[in-house]
Amino acid sequence: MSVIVVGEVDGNDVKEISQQVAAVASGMGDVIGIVMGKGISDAAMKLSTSKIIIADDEALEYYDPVKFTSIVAQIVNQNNATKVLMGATTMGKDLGPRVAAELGWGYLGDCLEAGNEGFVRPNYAGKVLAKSNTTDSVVLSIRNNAYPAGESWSGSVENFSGEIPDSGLTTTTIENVGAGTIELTEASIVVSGGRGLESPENYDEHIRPLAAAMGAAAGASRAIVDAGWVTHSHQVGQTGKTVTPDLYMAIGISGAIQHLGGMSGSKFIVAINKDSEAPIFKVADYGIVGDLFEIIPLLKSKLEN
Amino acid sequence: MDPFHDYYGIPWYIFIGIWSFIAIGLHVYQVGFIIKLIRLGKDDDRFNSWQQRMKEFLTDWLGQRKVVEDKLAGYAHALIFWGFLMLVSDVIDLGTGGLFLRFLHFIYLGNIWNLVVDIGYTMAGIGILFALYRRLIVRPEKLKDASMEGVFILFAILGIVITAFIVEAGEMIEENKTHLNYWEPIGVLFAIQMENMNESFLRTFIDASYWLHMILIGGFLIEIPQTKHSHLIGTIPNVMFQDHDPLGAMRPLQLDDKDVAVKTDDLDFDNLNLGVNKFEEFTWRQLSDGWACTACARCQDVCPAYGSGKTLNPMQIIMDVKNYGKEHGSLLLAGEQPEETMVDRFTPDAIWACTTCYACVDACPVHIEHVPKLTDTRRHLVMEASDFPEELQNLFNNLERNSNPWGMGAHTRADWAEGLEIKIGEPAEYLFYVGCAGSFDDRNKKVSRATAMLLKEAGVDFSILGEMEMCNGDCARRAGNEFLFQMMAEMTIESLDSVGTLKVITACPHCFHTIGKEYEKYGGKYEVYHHSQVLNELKQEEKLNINKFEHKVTFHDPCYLGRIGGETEAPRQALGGDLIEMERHGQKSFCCGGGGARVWMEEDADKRVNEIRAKEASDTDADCVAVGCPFCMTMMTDGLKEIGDGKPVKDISEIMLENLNTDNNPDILKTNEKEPLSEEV
Amino acid sequence: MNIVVLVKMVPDTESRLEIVDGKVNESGFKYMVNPYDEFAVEQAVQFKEANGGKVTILSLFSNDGSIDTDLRKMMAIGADEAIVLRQDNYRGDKPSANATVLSNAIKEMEADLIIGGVQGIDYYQSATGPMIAHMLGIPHISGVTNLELNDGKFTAKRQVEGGLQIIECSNPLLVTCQKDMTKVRFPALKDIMMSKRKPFESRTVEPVESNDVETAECSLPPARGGGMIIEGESSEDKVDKLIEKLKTEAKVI
Repeated sequence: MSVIVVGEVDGNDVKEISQQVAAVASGMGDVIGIVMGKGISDAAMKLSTSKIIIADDEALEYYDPVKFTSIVAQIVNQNNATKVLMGATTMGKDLGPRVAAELGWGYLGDCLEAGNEGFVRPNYAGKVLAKSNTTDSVVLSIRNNAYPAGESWSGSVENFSGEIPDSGLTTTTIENVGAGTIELTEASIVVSGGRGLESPENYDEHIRPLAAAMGAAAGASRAIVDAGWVTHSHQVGQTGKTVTPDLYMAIGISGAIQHLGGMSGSKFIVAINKDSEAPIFKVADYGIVGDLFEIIPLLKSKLEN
Repeated sequence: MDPFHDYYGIPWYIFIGIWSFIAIGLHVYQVGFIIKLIRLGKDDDRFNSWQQRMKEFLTDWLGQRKVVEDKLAGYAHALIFWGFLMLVSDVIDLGTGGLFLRFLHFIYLGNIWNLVVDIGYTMAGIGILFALYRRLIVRPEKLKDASMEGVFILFAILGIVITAFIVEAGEMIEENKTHLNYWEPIGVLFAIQMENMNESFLRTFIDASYWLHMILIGGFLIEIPQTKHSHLIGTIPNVMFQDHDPLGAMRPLQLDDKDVAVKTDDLDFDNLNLGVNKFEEFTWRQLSDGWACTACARCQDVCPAYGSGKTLNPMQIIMDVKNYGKEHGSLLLAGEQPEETMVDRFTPDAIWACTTCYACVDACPVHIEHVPKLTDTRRHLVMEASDFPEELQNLFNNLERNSNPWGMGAHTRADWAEGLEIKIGEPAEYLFYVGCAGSFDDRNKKVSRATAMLLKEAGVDFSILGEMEMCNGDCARRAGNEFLFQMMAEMTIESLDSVGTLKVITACPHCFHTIGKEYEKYGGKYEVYHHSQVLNELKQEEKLNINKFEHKVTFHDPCYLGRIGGETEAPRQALGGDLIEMERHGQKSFCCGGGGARVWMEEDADKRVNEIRAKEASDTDADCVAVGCPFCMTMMTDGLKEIGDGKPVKDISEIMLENLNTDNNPDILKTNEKEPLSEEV
Repeated sequence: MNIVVLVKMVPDTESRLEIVDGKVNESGFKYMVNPYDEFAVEQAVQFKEANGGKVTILSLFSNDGSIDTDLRKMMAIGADEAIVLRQDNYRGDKPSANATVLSNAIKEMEADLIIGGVQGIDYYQSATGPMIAHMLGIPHISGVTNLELNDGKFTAKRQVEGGLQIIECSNPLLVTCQKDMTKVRFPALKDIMMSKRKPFESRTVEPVESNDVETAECSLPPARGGGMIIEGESSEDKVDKLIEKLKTEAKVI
C-alpha cells in the first residue's frame, strides 16, 4: 500500500512543509515522493521519502495544473497508490482537487491534522473543526503544521518517464513582489498599529519592520489614519478595509467597534496593548499586556531567527 | 403743489401709464415664468387644515415670529415689512393723481389712511436705517463678502421713503399758503422745511421727487422676481403651506390615497421616482423654497457641515434650486433636460456632508426645507445611480444581512442583557427597544445595562425583543436607501406587533424619532419614549431615588431628541444636579456630527463636526459631558479625546445609576460590575 | 463571449455555530452569496459590457427558495439569466459530487469562460472549480487577482509564494477569483427591480454518487472568547510564549 507525497522545492531545498507532509505520510504506508519542475533534480533528492520520482522537464518550469495532475495520476496508477498528500500551499490547494477529480477520489483541503486517527480540517473560517475517518482513495492537502519534518534518507530515485500533456496555459513570468507591498485584503498575516504607537515615526520603526519580517501587510486603526500618520489605504475597520487574514496582530489598538468590524473575521487575533481593559482583548485569542516598544523589537528579532 | 400736470405738453398720466405698463408687465411676466417653473414640480397636497394654516400665516408671515429671533436684522426687517404693508396702497394714490384718496375721503377713511401711510413710511425708513447700520457698521461675519447689491437696494428704498415725504409735503404747500395736514405728521415736518423754498425750485423739487419715487417703485417691481427680493412673493406660499408632518419625518417612496405608505412588495417601480436628480422631480413646494429664500444665512450660521468647513452650505442649496431653474428655465419649460443635473449643481460632496440635524430648517424664518432636498438627492444617488461613498456599501450589506450597521451576528443581539434577568420577547407594559449601538457596541451596551437596571429598580414592567429586534432603519433611510429602510421598518413593525407592543422605551433618539414619528405611515403606531423621559418620570414619582450628585455636568442635546424631537426638559430634570449649559443648547443645540448616517462615513481630519462640539463642551466648567444618544456618545468621546480633553462622556442613565440611592438595595450596582468600564479609541 | 458564473450559497458568516450530536446545527442558517463569487459575477459582467455576450449564473442548492432574492441581486449586477439546480439533500461539503452535477449542466452551455470564487466561505476547500475544469477537460487558473481579456486571450495574475504568476490562456477556461479581484458594484434598486424580469430557471437534479469524504464529527475549537492574556515574568518570556502559541495553535508561522 503506497502513499504519494507531492513535494515542492524552493531554490536548492525541499520546502519545509513538504518534509512535514512526508513525515505524516510515513505513518500511512510506503511513501513515494514526486517532485516536478525544471532543474529541480538536485533539490528534489532531499525529500524525505523512501522513493523519489523526479519529473524534471523544460515544460514544467512553472506550476501547471493540467500537466502536474497528469503526472501525479500516472504515478498513482503505476504504483497502485491509495492516498496522495501534499502541502496546502498555493500549488497544493490548486493541484489537489484536480488530481482527486482525475482519480475519482475524495479530496480534503487544508487539513490541520492527518493520520491514522482521522483527518481534521477547519470549516467556517476555522470556527468549526470537521473530523473525517481515515479512508483510502483520498487526496489531502495539509496545512503547515507543527509536525516534525521527516528525516532525510537516501532512498531510490527514479525519473518520470511518462507523458506530459499540453495544457493551453502559458506562464509568461513570475513577477517579484517586494515585501511590504502586500495588499491588506490579500495578506494572510496583517500587522496593524494604533494610537498606542504614540507617533508616526514609531509606526515606521515598529509596525512596518515587523510586518516585513512576518511577510505581512501593514494595517492601521482609524485613529492614526485620521491623525495623518499613515494613508487611508492602510485603514482596517468599518470605514476602511475588511480583512480576514489567518493572523491579525493588533498593536497599540484599543479596539473600537469600528475597528472590530473590519478584522473580527480574522482566524487568529493577537493583541498587544498596555491597557489591560482595552476591548481588543475581548476578541483576541491571545493578548499581551505590556509595553509595545519593548515587546515588538523582541518579537521581531525572535521571528527573524 | 402737486406733480400732476403736463410735461412738455403731454399730460403726466401718459408717462405714468406707459411706465406702469412696462413695470407691471415685466413684473407679471417674470412672476408668471417663476410660477410655471414651480408648477413643474410634483404634487404635494398641502391644501388642508386651513384654519391652522391661516393662524400660522398670521403669526409667521404677518407676525414675523421667526424673523425677529435675530434681534437687529429681525426687527429692522419687521419694521420695513410692516411699514410697507401700511404704505403700499400709496402707490395707487400717486399713480392715479390723488383719485384714490378722494375716494377714501368719500367713504370717510381718507384721514386715517393718510396717517397709516405716513406711519408706514416712517417705520420703513427707521427699519432701513437700522439695516444700513447693520450692513455698513456692524458688518456681521456672514455679510463680509456680501455684494453691494443689498446696500444699493436699501438706499433705493430709502429714496422711495424720502421722496414720498417730499411729495406728501408738496401737496400741503400752495403758492401763497400752506395747509398743514396733521394726519401726515412726518409730511408736516417736511412741509415746514420746504415752505420757504424758492417757488420754481420747489416745483422742480417736488416733480423730480415724484418721478424718482415712481421710477424706483417701478424698478423695484421689475427687480423683485429677479433677486432675493422674490421672497416678497415667495414667502407667501412658503409660510402658508409649511410642513405639517413632524419635523424630520421623511416621505415614503409612495403613498396610497389614504396617505399610508405602499408596501414594498406593491411599489410601482415603473412609475416611481427613486429620489431626485431632475428639477421637476422635486415637489412644487420644494421648488418654491428657492424663491422664498432671502439669503439671510441663518441656516448657514447653524449648519454643522458648513461650520466645519465642508462643501455644504444649506443656503447655497436653496439658491442652487432657484438659479438652476432660472438658468435652465426655458429648456425645462419646453420639457427638455439640461445636461447639468440637480446632483451636479448641488455636488455630491455637499449632498453627503449633511448630518440631517435640521438646524437649518429650524433656523429658517420662512419654513424652507433644506434637508429633504439633500436626502432626496441621496435617494437618487443610492437607488438610481448607485454612486455613493464606498463606506456605505458595508453599511447597507450589514443592515441587510444582520440588521445592524456593523454586521455583527444577529443572534448576539441580546448578549448585553446577560445576567440581568430581563423578559425577552414577552408582552409587557413597555418594550425596551435597545437599538443596534446599545446591543453591539461595548460602550453603549453599558448604557443599555444602566437603563435596564434603573427600570428594574423602579419596578417597571418591560421586555426586550432580543434576537427579534432589528435596526429600525434610520441610517439606511438618511443615507438614501429608502427601499432598505422600508423593508426594515415593515419587519420591525411586525416584530413589535408580535408581542403586542403599545409603549416603547429607547435610549436612542434615532429609534425614538423613527419608530415614534415615521413608522405611522407604515402602519406602526406606538407611544415612544426616550429613556430620559421615562426615567425622569420615575424620579419625579420617587420610584427612583437619585442622590443629588456632586459633579458638574453639561448636557449635549441630541438633535433627534431636542430640536427634532421637541424634548429638552426631561433629560435635564432627570439629571438634576449642577447643570452647566453650553452656549448652544436645547432646541439650538449643535450636532455631534454623527446623524444622517455621517457616523458611518469618512470625515476629513481637519473638518470634524465632533471636535467643534467637543470644544464647546470642553470650554464649560463641567467635569462630565452627559449625552442621551449612542452616536453622540461615540462622537463626543472621540472629539474630546482628539482635542485632548479627558472629560468623561456618560449617558443620562449611567449618571443616574451612579447616583442611585442604594440604601434599600445595596447589591444592585454589583450586577453592573461584570464589564469593566473602559474608554475606546 | 458566453460566460458561466458559478455562485455558491453559503451560510452567513455571522450565523450561530452550534454543535448538536457532533453535527453543526444548520437549522438557523441564513444563506448568502459566497463573497468570492461576487467578484466573479462582477468580472463576468465587465467582460460582457466590454465585449458583448451572455452571462449566466449557475448555482446548485437545495429546494430552499429563500436564496432567490440574493441571486436576483447578483443578476442585478448585470447577469442575463440564472439557472439554479435544485437537489434534495444538497450539501456544500461534497466538492466532487457537486462538481459532477455542475459540470454536467455546463457541458450543454458552450461556455467560453467559467468563473467562480476561489473558495466558499463555508468549507474553504477551493476544490469545486478545479474539479469542474478537469471534468470538462479544460484548463483552470485559481486564485486569480487580476484577469484581462485581449483579442480573445486571457491574461491572469495569481499570487504564489515568491511573487505574482502571470498566465496566458485562450478559451475555454475556468478561473477562480481571489478576494478583491475587482470592485463589486452595488446594484441600483432599479437594476434589482429590473432583474425580476430576467429569466430565472430552477431545475431539479438528482443526487450523484461520489467519493467525497464524509465528515464524521464536528467540534468547536478550544474556546477563544474572552481571549487569553499571556502572563510571563518578563517581556521576553511573554514573547516566547506568544511565538509558541502562534506555531502550535494558530499554525500560521
